[in-house]
Amino acid sequence: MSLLRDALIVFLKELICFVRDRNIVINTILMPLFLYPTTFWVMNQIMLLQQGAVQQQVSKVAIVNGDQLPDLMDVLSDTDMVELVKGWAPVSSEGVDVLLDIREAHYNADNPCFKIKLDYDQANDYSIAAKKKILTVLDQFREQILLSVTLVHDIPSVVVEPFTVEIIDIASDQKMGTYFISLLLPMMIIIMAAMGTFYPAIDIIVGERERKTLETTLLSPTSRLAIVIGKFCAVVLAGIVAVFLNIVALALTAAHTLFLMAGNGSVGFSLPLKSIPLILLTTVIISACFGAACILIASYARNFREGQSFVTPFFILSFQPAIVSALPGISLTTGLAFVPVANAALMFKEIINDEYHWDKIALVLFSLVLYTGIVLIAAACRLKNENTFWREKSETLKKSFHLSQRFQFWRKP
Amino acid sequence: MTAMIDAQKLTKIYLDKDRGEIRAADEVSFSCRRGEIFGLLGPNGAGKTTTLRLLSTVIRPTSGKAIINGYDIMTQPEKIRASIGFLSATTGLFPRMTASEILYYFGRLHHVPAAELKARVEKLVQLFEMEAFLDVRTDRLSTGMKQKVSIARTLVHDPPVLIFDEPTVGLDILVTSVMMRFIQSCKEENRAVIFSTHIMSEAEKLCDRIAIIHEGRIHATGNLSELQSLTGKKFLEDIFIHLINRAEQDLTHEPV
Repeated sequence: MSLLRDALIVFLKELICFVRDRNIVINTILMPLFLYPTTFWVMNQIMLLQQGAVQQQVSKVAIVNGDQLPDLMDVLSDTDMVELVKGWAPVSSEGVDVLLDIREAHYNADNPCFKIKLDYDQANDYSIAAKKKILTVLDQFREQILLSVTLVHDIPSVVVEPFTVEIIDIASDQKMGTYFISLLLPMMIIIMAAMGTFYPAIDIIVGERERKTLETTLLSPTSRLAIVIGKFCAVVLAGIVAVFLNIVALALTAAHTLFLMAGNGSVGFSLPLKSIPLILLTTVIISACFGAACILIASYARNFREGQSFVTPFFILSFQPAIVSALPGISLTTGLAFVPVANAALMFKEIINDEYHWDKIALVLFSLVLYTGIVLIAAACRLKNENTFWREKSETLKKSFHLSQRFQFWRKP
Repeated sequence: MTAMIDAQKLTKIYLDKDRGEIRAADEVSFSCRRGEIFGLLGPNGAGKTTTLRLLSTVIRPTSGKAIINGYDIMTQPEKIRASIGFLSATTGLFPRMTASEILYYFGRLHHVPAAELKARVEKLVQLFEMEAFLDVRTDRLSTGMKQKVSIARTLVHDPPVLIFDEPTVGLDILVTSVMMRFIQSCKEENRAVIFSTHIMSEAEKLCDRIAIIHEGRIHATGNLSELQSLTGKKFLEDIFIHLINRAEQDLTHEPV
């Protein structure tokens, strides 16, 4: 009994320590309670909305030999969200979403027999949605024909096949590979930029304070701004290196994954050459933004462990918007160009697919630079404040933003 | 002789959520000449570190001023930091860098010309017998070796002013002895030295003049004989306790 009693005493003491430990409260209680459910609920809602939006999108359908099937033309004309184009047109992002080519059509009520060739692009979200829509219409049309045939001739519906549909994916292996890469790579770049800056950003202030090396550096005649810039650049470089190495590793290992995903033995992918400078530039800006944000958040921590628990929720939240790049049908709009992280992810996706909307790209770069600048100034203000370097006790947000401390930034150190 | 360090009413006030206004340094005034070791003697939390950090310009005073080597701490902080060597228990060494890398790094941050820096590092390595561990990462060094690297780091830019903030805390008797000899040698090299400690024997042994600091205020300054005549006590420990008790009585009777 004494053993159990003592164990209980220790257990209760540990519980008291747990609830008084900010790291445990954040990671064990607050994160599961609020962060993950909220994040995943929001993402789920966005996905459902987006899927609905894609289905509601007007699909452009070209029909070759459509005049031979007036009934089908009538059904398609009556279908909502379908725009018919008579005659041949290419399936592409600028052309139509689906091409229907009606062949061997000897249609009459007694002997219905025709073949429909459906061309679509598996690497195009709108084309996939249009294909789904058209197949539903064709199924309904088949039911209609079967009903009339079985009623007139008393033939069991199971033995009648009024038409066949041949579905052809026009996307090349290369295009499919690039499509899959465009779903993965934007998220990878953003997650890796965040991960690459995560530890260095915590280490440069909190880690150094803990190791008692920060004061040694501050005692040199170098300006504090130079120290901050030097440290910040190191953090950004860590983010860039992480992204670069991950892209290389992804490129080396993705072929097998692509093979499995596409179900085809000859999948490949390529990055348009002109996309690379833009991807690199954006990676630098994104890394700078994450780096500055992580430094800013970590500066409120007393030690490395606390720094980790402060930055982790931000880290998880920050790359959630990148998931939009993997959702069907979301493209870069003027509004989305101002949504941090999501804008970069969508821009990456489009340029990987060799689509360049320079006005939107300019907006994305402008907004990213703007946000980075704001976070960087906030981080610099924080690091200019002498309390950031000496703080060893808990600091409330109210105290952190105390006016007398804020104005110290504008004084020469 | 002109003072190398001249502190005038240095005050640092912190606002604490629970305790309100805290005067970590309260109108601290003293001076220190070349070739002099000036001691700041006080218990833990007396304001020694705050005062020395104010002098080293890593924190800014709420009021008051100080001139070091002719430079003002408020307007010429970078020149001040170039003039001082600061060593304390909180000035650690980068664990993932070697002794040599650390010396060159700080030499460059102090803008010591390359050729001069090389000669300076070689001299310090020889002086502190660091040849054997010069290229070893500092996290693999013993406490004594680390202390030697720290001292060399403090001297790499050949500063005329040296500030030591409780430099013997946590050191064993042998390393403490090295440290004490080094501080004594700084006096012989005609540098101005400020030395803070709460260990009476160290202050008694090293300091030409001593300031007794408590609750952020200096309560008495002078050499040992001056402090003896001021308090009527013979030993520094008794002098210290006498002054601290008197200061606390003054605080208790201070009108609100």
